[in-house]
Amino acid sequence: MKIFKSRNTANSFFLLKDEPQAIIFDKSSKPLWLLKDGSKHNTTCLHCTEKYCLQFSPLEIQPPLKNFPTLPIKEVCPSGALKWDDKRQCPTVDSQKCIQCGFCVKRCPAKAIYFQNGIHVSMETNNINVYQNSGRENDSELHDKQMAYLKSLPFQALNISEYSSVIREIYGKLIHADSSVRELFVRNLLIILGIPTSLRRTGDVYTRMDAIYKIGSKVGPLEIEFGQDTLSASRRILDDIAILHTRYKLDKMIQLPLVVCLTLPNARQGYWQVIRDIKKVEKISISTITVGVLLIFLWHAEKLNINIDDYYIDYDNMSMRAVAESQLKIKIPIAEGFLGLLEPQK
Amino acid sequence: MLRFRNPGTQFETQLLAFRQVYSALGEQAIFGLEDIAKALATNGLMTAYGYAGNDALQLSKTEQESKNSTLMNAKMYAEVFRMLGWVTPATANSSYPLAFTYIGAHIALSDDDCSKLYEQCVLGINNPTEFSGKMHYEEKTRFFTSALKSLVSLDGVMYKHELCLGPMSVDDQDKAKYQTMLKRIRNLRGNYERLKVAFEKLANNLGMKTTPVDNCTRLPIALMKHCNWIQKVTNSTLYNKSMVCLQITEHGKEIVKQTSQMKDLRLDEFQKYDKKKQCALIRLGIYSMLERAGYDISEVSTVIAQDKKLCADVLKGQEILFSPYQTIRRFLIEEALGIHFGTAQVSEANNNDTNTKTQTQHSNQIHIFSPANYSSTQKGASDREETELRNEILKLHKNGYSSKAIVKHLMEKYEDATQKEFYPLIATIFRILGFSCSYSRPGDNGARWDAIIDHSESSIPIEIKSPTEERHISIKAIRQALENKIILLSRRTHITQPSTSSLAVGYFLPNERAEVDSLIDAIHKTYGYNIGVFGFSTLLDLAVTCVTQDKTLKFAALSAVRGVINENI
Ligand code: SF4
Ligand code: SF4
Repeated sequence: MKIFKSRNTANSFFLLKDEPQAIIFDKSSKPLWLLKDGSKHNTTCLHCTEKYCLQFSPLEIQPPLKNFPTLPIKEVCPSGALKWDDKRQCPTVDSQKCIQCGFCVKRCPAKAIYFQNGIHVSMETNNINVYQNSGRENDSELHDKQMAYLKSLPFQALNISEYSSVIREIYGKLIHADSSVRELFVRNLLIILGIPTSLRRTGDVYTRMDAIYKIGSKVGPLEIEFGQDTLSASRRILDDIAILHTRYKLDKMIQLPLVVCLTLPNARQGYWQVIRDIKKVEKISISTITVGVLLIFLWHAEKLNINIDDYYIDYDNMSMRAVAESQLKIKIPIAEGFLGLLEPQK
Repeated sequence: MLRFRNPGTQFETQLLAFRQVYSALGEQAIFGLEDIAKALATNGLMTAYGYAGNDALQLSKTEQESKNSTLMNAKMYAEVFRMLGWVTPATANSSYPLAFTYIGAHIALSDDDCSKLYEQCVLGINNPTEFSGKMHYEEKTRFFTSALKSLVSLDGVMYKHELCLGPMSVDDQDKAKYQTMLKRIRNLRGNYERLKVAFEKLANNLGMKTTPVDNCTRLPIALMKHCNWIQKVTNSTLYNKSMVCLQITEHGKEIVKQTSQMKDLRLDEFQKYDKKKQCALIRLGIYSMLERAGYDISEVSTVIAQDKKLCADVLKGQEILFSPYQTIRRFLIEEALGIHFGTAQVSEANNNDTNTKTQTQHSNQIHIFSPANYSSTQKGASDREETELRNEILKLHKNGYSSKAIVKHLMEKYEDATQKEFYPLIATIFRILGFSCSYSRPGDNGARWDAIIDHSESSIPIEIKSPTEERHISIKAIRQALENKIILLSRRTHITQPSTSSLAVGYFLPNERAEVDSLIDAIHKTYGYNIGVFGFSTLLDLAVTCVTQDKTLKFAALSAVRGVINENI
């Protein structure tokens, strides 16, 4: 029986003539490749075979826990804004749907996707620093090597001074997004930060957590709370821990429970005390982290060594500023209480 | 009207599930629901009774109920796979067992997300087919092209109920009927009341309630969204009120353009041709689906050219739109393609040796109604609320009401009670049972119990759900009861022990009984706490016994209860 192969896979990638020394980004233009001879060229999509901007590899979305009912979504773009355009042979962004998270920007090794009043893809068929592969034997290998090299080049697509305004914009869009978009957003953000994370497949009523994630050898349940009902998140986490403990044989004491929220609950909300109660009585530390802090890690750090354990905050200390700053080794230019990102708004 | 059943799963999961079933059973399998269930459970894609992997089926075997739910799950997948033409009935006259198809094999063996082939399969859905004998509807249509075409004709936007009134209820190749349908929808527009009446009339004619009719739009909308043919938009011009409507996308318009230039072949026409032509049309249908989905079919170009020549009078130069597996049975298709599926032995679905160990619910639920749990010690002075409720019960009792009838009367009386009424009432009932119980004001910060039984050593927090909040106690209330327990142990406002129960009280016992039971069990195993659950009628029953027999309940009967306390019927 003849099984046909898809026409669109592989074989149409581009190769670099010269590997750039560095990537230059200045707000007024596309990102540039700086070559050894000092010349600068616009970056362009190389039709990479892996399509890093569009999809995660099977390995990247492998569930951190065996038998976990995982939602096997490969897409990098949480809002469905980024699609492959067959005609132009490059990704395109639907600006209506784009929430400007920058995941695709971060993922593209060639830096062909960039922020500039929205997200853009640079596609130049006549770029003089690239040529199309012609099926030579080691083209594939060379392409992989070049992509790996490009990946290693440092690149900062956003200035640190822009963080607040971009986060405000993203938050504005996330608040109105479908819950499936939000969940995918958090999952993808964590995966890109190097933290394997799986969303739970809906329909399995006995495994109720929003997701699970893994850091080192430790696995933890994850609840995503973008609204005001943080108390429900701490309750759900206790339920999750029990499920992992009994059904997945993961001792409650070695789990890393985490609540990811958009903004921290206000100081007067019951959440903070309950988190402290749980720690006191059960010796279980439930960490809390905001999407904003994770985004800062995404944009700022090249390699991330985020330590979720350190993000335990409760009624006695409701701020994650100090720990985030020490891990990022910068002073985060975000005003106190701003969007409840680093400490409660009030 | 066409009836689409909700698939209940995400598309990504369908693909993954299909690939697992394919690799687990092998391409030649002839299989049933149980085989699908087994294949999915072994790979962790389906959990029965919450246990992943092989445990799932073992446990399911022991409990008919969850076994059924596992099979229901498998059926849901099977129906989606069949609708898309990835599997097909293996035999000539029944729906099961199933065999894989040539299109299914491409889905299973490709390494990309197959979204384009998926799109072709959605376009392939049409009616009638050789399988549609048992359907409740007779519309002759290729629904999705018809729906997209209607969208274009109706200014690019439609409300979901217009789908039911329009493309789901029309023969799309009958030009006159189709135009009448469009005209009818145009005439409805501008007045929401008109639409509502028309929709209700439609439901009525179908002998259905409006909700299930509305539900029939879920799958087609999800499929169209998934194929990126439509998007949801808020529109307030169609019916002069803000509604979430469906808007055709650029890609959707492109599909309309493409398909309108194709030869759309349906069952009745297909059946008119001789076998040789039928076989050629089958090949053309399948290869063209694959080609449009981006597969490189150059290897069969000679065959295609010959077939096209043979079918020139049918095609008239157009490309064919015809999905054989979604229209006819597999035998002729396989003959035409020279392939064979389903050559394996029929699987003996029930062959795996079952381990019939019975799973019991490990709860230490005490038989709370047993006489030993009551003591005849009279209780101390009563407050006003308590006296009132007592008197009410006694009066009914005197009037010859049985205990059951009293409970029924009070159940009905408080059917619509709000928190404000229900919380004090529950506290009153516990006082009648002989405990010192007080309630917290509703809304007094979420992070605390709604009532508490104060005890010198073992105080019991109570989470209450009034019938207006939720009629059946849910998982949520159990979680709150756990939180109450932890807060009480931490903040020590009342003395208690870790082993003392934390209660959840609601109007009716949980609907999702198995889920609640398993959560209570998991909480006990993980944290060591006892969560007890009471329905309103159970508490009333206890209260009636106490009042009419002048007794109280022993504290021990309550303080270590775990699990859902069944009604005393
Ligand atoms: S934009 Fe970048 S990641 Fe995406 S296909 Fe092109 S080179 Fe690859
Ligand atoms: S920025 Fe985010 S939302 Fe926008 S296209 Fe890229 S991944 Fe998608």
